Amino acid sequence: MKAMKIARARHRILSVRWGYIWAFWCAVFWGAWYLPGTAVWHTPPYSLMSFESTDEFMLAAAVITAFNGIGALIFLFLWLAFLEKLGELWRTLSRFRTISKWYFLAAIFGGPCALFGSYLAIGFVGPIFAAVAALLYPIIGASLARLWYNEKITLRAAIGILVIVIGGVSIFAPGIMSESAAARELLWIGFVGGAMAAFGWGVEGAIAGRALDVTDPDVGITIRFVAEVIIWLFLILPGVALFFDAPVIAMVSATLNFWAILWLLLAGLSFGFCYVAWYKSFPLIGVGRGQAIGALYGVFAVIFLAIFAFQFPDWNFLLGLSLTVSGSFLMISESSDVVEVVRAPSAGMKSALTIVQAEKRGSRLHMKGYILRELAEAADNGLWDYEIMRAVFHEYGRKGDYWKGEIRVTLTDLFSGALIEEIEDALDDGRYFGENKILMKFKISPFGMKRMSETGLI
Amino acid sequence: MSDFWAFEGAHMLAIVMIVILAAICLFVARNWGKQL
Repeated sequence: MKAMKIARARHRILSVRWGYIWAFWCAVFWGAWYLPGTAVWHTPPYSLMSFESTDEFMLAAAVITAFNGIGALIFLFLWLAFLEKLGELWRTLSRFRTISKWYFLAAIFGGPCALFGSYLAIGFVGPIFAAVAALLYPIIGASLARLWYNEKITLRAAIGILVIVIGGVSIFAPGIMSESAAARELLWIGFVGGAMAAFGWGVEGAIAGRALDVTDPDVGITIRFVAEVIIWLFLILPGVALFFDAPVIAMVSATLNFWAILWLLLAGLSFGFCYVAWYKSFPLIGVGRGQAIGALYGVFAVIFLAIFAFQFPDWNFLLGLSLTVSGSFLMISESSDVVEVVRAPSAGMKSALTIVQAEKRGSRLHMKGYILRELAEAADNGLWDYEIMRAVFHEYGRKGDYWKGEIRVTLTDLFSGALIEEIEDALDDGRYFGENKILMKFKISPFGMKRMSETGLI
Repeated sequence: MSDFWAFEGAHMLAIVMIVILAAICLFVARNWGKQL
């Protein structure tokens, strides 16, 4: 009995800890992104531009953002290949009307709204203002996650988010004052851009949360970047060239030089890995917490810029650093019991048994959808995690410890998101996932059925 | 190199740092599930 308790506690602590670790990776890569993201502006053709007209600056920002997206997509394909999930990408992408469309919507908010807005804020007010404005995004994300998903935000988590945001603002506050004082009459465009950044990234996280419920995060973020690249390459850039007679092709060809492409590829690598870590953290600790820990990027950005560019922070950095770190500790030290299931259970829905219908299977589902459907078909009887593992191994021809781990991760993710409920547990004697690990029997929850219905899985 | 970088070779160090971080992250992504 004692071994069982220890195994349960260990599993709970590990799943929450990994949620925070992924959010932390997001912060590291986001901070590192400022190095290639700034270096590209100091590289021809951009270092040779005078930026006397706002049109020229906006075109440069659009071309850089588009290349940034292409770079991120290249490295996300590499990520998927390394994790043997390219097949999952095609299986998920093919369910466009019910699942992938949410990632396309998230891409509109994250790319042309947030990232482009951020570049506008940099251009018309200054980089420091842009960074602060973006730091406010967890407030938007956490509020929407609470509103849309009934995500639990405890008082402690809310205070943690607030402290991190105040810390972020204090890192950049003196800079904002000087930037605002020096700014000119087009200041309002920069402020609109800053609001677009905070709003766009906050909404993106909340929208993506819906599709992430039923898809793999690694695959989800790749689809989101496929969407962003399509939007830039086939809608925005051709649109700008056609309707505003802007020299898009000339700027794109001038960008095709060794250093500009190298920095844009590295920016893409940092951005892509930052995003994939961000998306991986959401199901485990919730959108609100994931975004708040991700907001530690401000600290990493300042550290990396100090080391590699000798851009040293003022006294206020120490204040900001202590505040953001304290805010993170406030959240991380929260009991894992509270964080294990990040959403409040929803009442008033029909039971799984009354909704589920035996549906003929058409083309093969993506793995997470298949697991959900197996659980829905088992209804109130539920399935043990090792039974699910066997079914997946049989259906997709997988084997080995890596895929056992991936199935455990998927089940933990579904459980944290309240799509499945635990009905029984036992101690593994070493036959399935490892000696003294906890084995769990799950059944689909009413919320899980609702989400499956919304995403066309039943 | 451009005036952005603090010292000679800083750009190379930055490239190496980002690539190493990415390699570690990929390794972590491949292995974290086994711990759960």
